[in-house]
Amino acid sequence: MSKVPGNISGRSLGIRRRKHLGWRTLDIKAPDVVAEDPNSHISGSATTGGNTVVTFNGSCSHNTNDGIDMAVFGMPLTNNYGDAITFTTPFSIKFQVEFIGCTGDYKGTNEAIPCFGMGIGQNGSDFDNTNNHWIMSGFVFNSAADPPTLKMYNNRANGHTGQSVNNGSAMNAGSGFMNGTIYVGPAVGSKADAESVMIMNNTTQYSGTSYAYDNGPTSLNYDLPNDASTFDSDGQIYLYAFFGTNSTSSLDYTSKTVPVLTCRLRYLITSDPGGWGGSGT
Amino acid sequence: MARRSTIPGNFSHTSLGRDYHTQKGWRRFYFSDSRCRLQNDQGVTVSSSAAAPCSVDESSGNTVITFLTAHDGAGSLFTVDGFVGGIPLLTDEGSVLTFGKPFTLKTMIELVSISGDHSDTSGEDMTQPCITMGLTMETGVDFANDTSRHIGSGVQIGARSSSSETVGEDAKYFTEQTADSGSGGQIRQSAVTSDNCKLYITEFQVGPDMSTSDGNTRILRQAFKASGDDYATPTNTMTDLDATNHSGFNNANTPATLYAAITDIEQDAFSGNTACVVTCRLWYMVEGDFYNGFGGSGSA
Repeated sequence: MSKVPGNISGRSLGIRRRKHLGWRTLDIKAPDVVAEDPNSHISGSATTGGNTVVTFNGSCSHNTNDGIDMAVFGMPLTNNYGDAITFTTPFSIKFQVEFIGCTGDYKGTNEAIPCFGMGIGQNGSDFDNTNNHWIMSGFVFNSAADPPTLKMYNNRANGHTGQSVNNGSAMNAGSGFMNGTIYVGPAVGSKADAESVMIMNNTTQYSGTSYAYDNGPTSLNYDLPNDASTFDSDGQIYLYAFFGTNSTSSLDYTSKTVPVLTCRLRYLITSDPGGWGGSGT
Repeated sequence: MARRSTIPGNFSHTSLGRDYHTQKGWRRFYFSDSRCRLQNDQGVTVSSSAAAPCSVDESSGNTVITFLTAHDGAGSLFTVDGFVGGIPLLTDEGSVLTFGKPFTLKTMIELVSISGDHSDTSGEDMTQPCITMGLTMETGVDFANDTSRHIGSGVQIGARSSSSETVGEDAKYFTEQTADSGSGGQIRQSAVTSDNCKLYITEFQVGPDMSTSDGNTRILRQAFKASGDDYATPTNTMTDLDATNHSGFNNANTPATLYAAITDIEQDAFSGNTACVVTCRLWYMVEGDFYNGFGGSGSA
């Protein structure tokens, strides 16, 4: 026991006993994850040491460039203390999509065009149902080189039942580290109002090159532009990861080596289960 | 007297040691916080001397701002040239976040009421309050320093006491940041109508690149009505603001300072007015990873 006057020992006891601290890995194999791949975009998935490894399917006849129609892994979004985050409570989230590598054949003629990333939505399952509203970001492959060049990619609900995509411009190889933020204002759920939700992201090189931009600042935004596309649930928010082939035409992978993608998906979050407040009185 | 459970598997006190954090969820920003560094010697001119445009009293739990009843005119439209308070941005365990650490940050300015003489109308020479919250690299109290890189957003109150307007009427939201100039200075984006909004909510994104700085700092902002009005937002566009090469944060080791700033942008002199009093609440929410940094090696 310390005998120094004023040196109170044990002050840190009980501190930092949170369930999670700082970055959390989106673990697609966690027990609370619901995995769906109704259009057979992938054939396998695994997590090793915080990395996510996804094997694409040997063929994909589904034509889509919407991430929500690909293989989607959804889990309830909670803060670092395990509190559920709903659309009626304020939260602040940063996310990372880190491309690590990909083997196999991709982006050539009749080859898979890998697309992957993460975001949030309101359905805990049946992700591609038209009643779901979501917003997500990530990457889509832009070349057949190794490593490939990437484009930033956004996908969102658009209107009550629609969906839309936008891509960033092509980046140089080596730019594969995305940091993003999702803004969700209080005007969602039963109080849904347009222009209350937006996702924004930047992509840089990796830590070994000081996160430099190699071809100028690269950022991309996407919002939920109308009342109908805005989240209309007051319930649980779900965190999504998605993986699939981004092609609006059928691809026949016969005689091709299927791609195996390795990436890391992480997020940093805080929330207040007590709600927004904001009575203005 | 509490009794020990004898039910097999019923472990008592399983929650002990959890949630013993220093801060969780929303935190209030108080100018009266002992950690707060104040710039309270400039903003308007009174008899040829620089003066703070207001004083602040937080003894009620709200931030109550009392503006001067007379000044010779505001020299600047920028809130960081007025009454400013800055506190170190801390994780909820109290670790100091620098611009090189990953963090989330949401801020909210909640307008409550306004009284006294105030107006945004030409010919009515009365206080026109502006309030912002943002991030700055200033580590002292000279928030108005032209080279102190900062970015923030807030509200320009437009209510007219002559029409008995309430605090949100004719309000506009706006952003401020360091100018895109090697010599510094400030720029202020055009104010956007946010009529009858009382909540000004901003999300910040910083890093990880600290060398290019162009585009490495961004904010998203929107304005909403109060809870009783279903948080409706009358603005048609949710916008973002990117830092430029001369305004993005460029030192990973500098502690991040969260600031709140107040000024009176009335450009004409007035005297003998009834003091304008604005009551508001300033909120923020933060989470960071002090220990692991951004990661992102790009290797398995």
